[in-house]
Amino acid sequence: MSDQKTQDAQKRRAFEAEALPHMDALLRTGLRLTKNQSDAEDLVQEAFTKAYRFWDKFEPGSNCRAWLFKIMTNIFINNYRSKSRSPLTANLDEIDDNYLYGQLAGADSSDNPEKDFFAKILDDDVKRAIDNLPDDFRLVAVLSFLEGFSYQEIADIADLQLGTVKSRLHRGRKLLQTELYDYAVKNGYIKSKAEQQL
Amino acid sequence: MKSDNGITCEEARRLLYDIIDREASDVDARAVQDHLVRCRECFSIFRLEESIQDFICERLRNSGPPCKAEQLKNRIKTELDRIDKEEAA
Repeated sequence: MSDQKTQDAQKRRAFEAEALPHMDALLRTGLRLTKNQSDAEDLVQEAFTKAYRFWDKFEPGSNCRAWLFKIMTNIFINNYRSKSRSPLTANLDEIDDNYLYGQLAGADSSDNPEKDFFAKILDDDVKRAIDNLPDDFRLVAVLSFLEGFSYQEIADIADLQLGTVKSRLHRGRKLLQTELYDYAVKNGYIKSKAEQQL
Repeated sequence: MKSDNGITCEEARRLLYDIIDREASDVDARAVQDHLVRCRECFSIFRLEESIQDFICERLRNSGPPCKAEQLKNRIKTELDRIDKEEAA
């Protein structure tokens, strides 16, 4: 085998050993980002193809998972993120901090809305609420909640300032809490605060 | 509520998500813990926010292995084969 062929085979082996095992995580996050299976598969495939082409830029021993997420996030932002900005973020400042606490706490002792809330909201309900977040908030929320990346890692992956990561996460949480609460009330899982006080 | 040498409710709540996300410094984390021992309302808020966070993470991660992962892996490997050939040419 020529030197070039040996090198190519080594590259392929290294990539399959170090990068490919992260595919499930990328697909899981890709699904939440694109919100559909076929786009998620395309996004992940594109990310791995790009990563393979640039494999010589990857520093051995550094965080391969974060590197792959950075590549995928970049493709998502450039090719998949919806072009129009969501207008709903304007009203966010009117939502109180700790929104769910405000709604669930201090209920009559015969009701336990907190317990009902946690018992009745299902996996798919949470996923739907995440999917409804505007793209920018969804991205940081998924990287944090689903993948457990630190603020600094998310800043590096999404090419954002640390303060932007924190504020988007904070706003994403507010939206998630209001959405899940409204959903729980609408489906009769819990009584609204007004109903509790009747 | 401001306790002796301690942080205020406002300061504690500003650190809430740093604590939940395990991003707070040791000094801040200790100051918040001290405050929570003394302040019932902040304690309740932190407890609920932590439960919500755990709940959301758990529900999100609960989906098991993503579907069609094996097919996608094969698709990617085919693509890698193509790049290998392209680069060898």
